[in-house]
Amino acid sequence: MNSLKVRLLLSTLVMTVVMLPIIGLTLTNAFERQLTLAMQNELKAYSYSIFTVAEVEDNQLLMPEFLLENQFNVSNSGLYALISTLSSDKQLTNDKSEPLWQSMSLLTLSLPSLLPSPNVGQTMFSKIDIAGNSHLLYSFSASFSDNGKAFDITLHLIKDQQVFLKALSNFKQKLWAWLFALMVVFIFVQIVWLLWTLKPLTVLTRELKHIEKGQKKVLDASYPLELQQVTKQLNALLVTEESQRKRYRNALSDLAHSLKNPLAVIQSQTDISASSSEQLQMINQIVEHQLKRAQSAGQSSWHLGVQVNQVVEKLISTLVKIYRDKHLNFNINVESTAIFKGDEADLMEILGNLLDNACKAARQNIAINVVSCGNKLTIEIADDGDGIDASQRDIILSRGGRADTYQAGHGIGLAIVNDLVKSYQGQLTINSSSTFSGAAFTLTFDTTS
Amino acid sequence: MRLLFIEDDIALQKNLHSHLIAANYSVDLANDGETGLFQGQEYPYDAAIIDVGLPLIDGITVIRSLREKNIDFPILVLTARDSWQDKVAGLDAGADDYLTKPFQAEELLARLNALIRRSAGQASPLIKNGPLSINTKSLQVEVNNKVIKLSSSEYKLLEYMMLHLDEVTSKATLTEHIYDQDFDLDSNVIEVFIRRLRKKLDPNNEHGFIETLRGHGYKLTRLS
Repeated sequence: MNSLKVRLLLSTLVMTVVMLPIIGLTLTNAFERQLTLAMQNELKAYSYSIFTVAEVEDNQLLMPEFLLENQFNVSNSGLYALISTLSSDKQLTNDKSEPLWQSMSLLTLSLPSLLPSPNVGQTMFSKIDIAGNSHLLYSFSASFSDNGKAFDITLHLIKDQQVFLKALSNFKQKLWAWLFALMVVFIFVQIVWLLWTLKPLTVLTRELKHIEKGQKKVLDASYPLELQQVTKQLNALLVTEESQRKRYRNALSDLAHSLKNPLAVIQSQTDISASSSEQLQMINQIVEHQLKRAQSAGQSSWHLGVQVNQVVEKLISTLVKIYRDKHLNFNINVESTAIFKGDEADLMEILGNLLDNACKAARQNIAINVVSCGNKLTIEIADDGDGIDASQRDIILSRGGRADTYQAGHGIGLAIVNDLVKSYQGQLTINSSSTFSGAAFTLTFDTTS
Repeated sequence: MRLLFIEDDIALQKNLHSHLIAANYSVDLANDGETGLFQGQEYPYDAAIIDVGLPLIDGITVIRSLREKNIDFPILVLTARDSWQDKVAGLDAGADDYLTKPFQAEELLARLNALIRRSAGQASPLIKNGPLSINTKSLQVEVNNKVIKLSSSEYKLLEYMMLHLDEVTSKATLTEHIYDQDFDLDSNVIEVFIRRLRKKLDPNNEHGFIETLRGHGYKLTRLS
């Protein structure tokens, strides 16, 4: 649930899948209620038309032979009327046996034995089954006055619900079909809207990945107003970070220049003694080592990606020039996707020193293998020189951080490499080359950060 | 061999100049990039030593400008900035080798020697031509394994011709490569040195090392 896209998609789906059926149910109920109400009103209207034509004389109910509404006159028409006396207990009556009057439409049908009997002046709606079909029953009790004597009757109007149920079923069918279509359209529109709305974030993620891989320096895509402030600040941060690092590196480089020039002057004097020369070497090594350690971007910097193959290519073209007389063969096998998460100058320092050592040690062949597997970057530099004795390997790598403990002539470069590798939580191991007879230096870095 | 040495640190320039003179090089000095670039374009040097941090025009730009004008003498870069980024930048601009400060003068001479030999197509400091051989490192000359003593100017002349076997070289060119810019180019001194060299290397004229091509110059013939 960490993805904005997934969150928005889920909320849209929940809204659609839950809300649309609720809307459907509400509409169905409202429609059903409205239909029922219309039917009840219709039956009420029929009741008034029947009471208008009903008369009581001599304690007898007189009804015309035909009613105005023709459905009452046609057998089995779906609209029926029945008048019965109001029962003495005013609850139930046995109308079937002695109805006072019934419409001609009811002649061929048999009614349930018990029909509701409301109080005088009261109405009652209920449902009954006639011949397996559901019917709506409207019962209304009234009292006629016959020479001052009350004549209480109950009028029952029955209407077949088939038409009502069919209308309701049609409505439901159409409503749900439309709602389903609406749901599909709605989900599709929501997905399109979501992708369109989140597109700037997708572009931003892609650009950041390019920056991490060292394929871009700044975010330069077009972003909506809401994101412009963020991208502007990010660009400013990227530029400031890089320029600060450059300024710091240049300041240290200038310091090295200022310190080393006087050393060079002293060293170039013709009458310098051997011990003074040795001391000068020592001072130089300390200056070199400490300044290089200080220059390392290491853990503190934002680790952007550096394409390893580009750094290797630059170094090889330089080394080919320097060691032209040795006619070295470089066997380069660098994955184009291999990325070092760190500072380019640091990677160049690490690989430059290792490759320079390999060029010095090699008889003719040097192999560079760079493999990026999962979150691991492995760089192996092997040569066909004499190799490094197993007993010496740990000693070389376990030297302390103090430059003045290094033995002259055995590569201060390697000590700097080891320090730089450690500052990136990497590993440097020395083995015998499996391809050649010489040493193989293997660097391993984690590329997740 | 005539060198161009561009270095703004006067003390370092002075010290190294004396080492280079002692190693039989003729050296033209420049204290800033602008002067150095002008000299590099004007004179036919055999090699140049260029400091990276120079006033007016920096060393990397000087090297790049020289290479853009197809001036191809070997260039050794001196730098106190010893990161691999700086080394790559220097060599990428067109330099052939680098040396980080501080350094031993012997190392500078060895690197310079190697660069000049390499540019003449010689891998080893020992250059042989028939019975004649010179060692550009020890500055020793032998004919039939017998050491011949030469003056500094005679050695310079012979070394240049050994590095340019079978090439006809005019007196003016020889003068330009052997002496620095303050030398009087009208001097007839080359003829004198050639005569002395012939006498010392081949007193009985058995090998005929140095050939004179009237009106053109001299040629050291390649012998088997």
